[in-house]
Amino acid sequence: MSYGREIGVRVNDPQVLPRIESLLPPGWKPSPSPVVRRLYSIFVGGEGPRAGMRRLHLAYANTLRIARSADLEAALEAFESDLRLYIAEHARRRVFVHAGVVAWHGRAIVIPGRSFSGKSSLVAALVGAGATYYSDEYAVFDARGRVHPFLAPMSLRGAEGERPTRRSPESLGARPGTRPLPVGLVAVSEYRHGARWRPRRLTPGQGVLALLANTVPARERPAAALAALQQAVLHAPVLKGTRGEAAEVADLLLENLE
Amino acid sequence: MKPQARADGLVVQELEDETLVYDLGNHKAHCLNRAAAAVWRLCDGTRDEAALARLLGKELADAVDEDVVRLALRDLARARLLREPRSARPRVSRRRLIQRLGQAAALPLVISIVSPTAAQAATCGAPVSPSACNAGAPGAVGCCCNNSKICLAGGSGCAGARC
Repeated sequence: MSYGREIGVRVNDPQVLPRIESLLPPGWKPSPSPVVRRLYSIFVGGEGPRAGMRRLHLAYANTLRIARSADLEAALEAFESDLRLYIAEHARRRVFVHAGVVAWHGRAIVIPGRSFSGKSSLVAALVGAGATYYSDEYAVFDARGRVHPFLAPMSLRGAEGERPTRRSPESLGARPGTRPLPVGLVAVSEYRHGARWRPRRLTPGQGVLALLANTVPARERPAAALAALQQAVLHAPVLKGTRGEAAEVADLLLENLE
Repeated sequence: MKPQARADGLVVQELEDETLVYDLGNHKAHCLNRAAAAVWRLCDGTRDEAALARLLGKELADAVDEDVVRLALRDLARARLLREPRSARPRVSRRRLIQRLGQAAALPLVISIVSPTAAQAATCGAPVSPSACNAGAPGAVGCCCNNSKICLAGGSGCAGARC
């Protein structure tokens, strides 16, 4: 059970279960219900019945095949990615926005952005500057516009085409957040080499649109999304601009909440 | 011409000085500033441009040029927030109006975005394979492919910007 949704996972090799457990969304708990909304099936491949023959590793979400690979890790990553997307889209009473989140002086700094916009590195820089870690993947809003922690390991990209490395917030010296917080600042930024952070302030309506552009259930539950995001930006400035190195911007963002 | 605002298939959220409108038909979200929202509300199918300008002037406590109303109607029509597509165009451009009226604050403004699908708004983990990208696998669009290019939507493959 995760965010009010029952999920099932079955495997043909129990040895892979601990690895699967490590990929489940933060805050998941066992459910007594035998009925699940989404059933994942992981078939671990390996040696085939004949010499020189190998079975591929397969992953299914209900009846949809989401991975078919000779690399078990790739199949498990497809499972994790699909599961998180499903939870983010269908979570009860929560609106998931693709964003990094840290807390500073009891208020949240939300950094919405698509993949490769540099938000994970900005979150890491903010955490390095002393902010409390909430998430580098999703800002989880409730109906009052407060942000809840989504404490998955931080994902840091290496060279082009490489798998991201994962590190726990604690290993980076971060304190993980524990309670929901009101939003103090939304920073819509995109990394550009050599750019200076000279943001312009968006109106609340434009701020809601900026968040909605990164909202997972935007099409599924637009009314709930708009209502939660409106509450979120009610008392928070929304800044938009290009930025240079994360460390330079981190201090400026924290100064906004001093 | 007496324009009428669309009401069906829309989710409307009022803010202090703006109005947010989500179109359930084409999944576009619009932010209407105060002037655009006022014109939209006043479009009840019984008022022409002159009447709209008069009423908008009352609402904004300032005299309003009919071209301002035409500009609003053009933007609202483009956003498909009026019942009928509008053919009339403002006689002057937004830039000319700003020059003529001296301030942009009273001018109508409609900002629109296309709402993302769940997969578009999701996080990418490991690089996806070109075959998964071409097959439109869940969560592949917008992610980095093995060839270090972004996976494009619509089966266009791993041909986007470098990642």
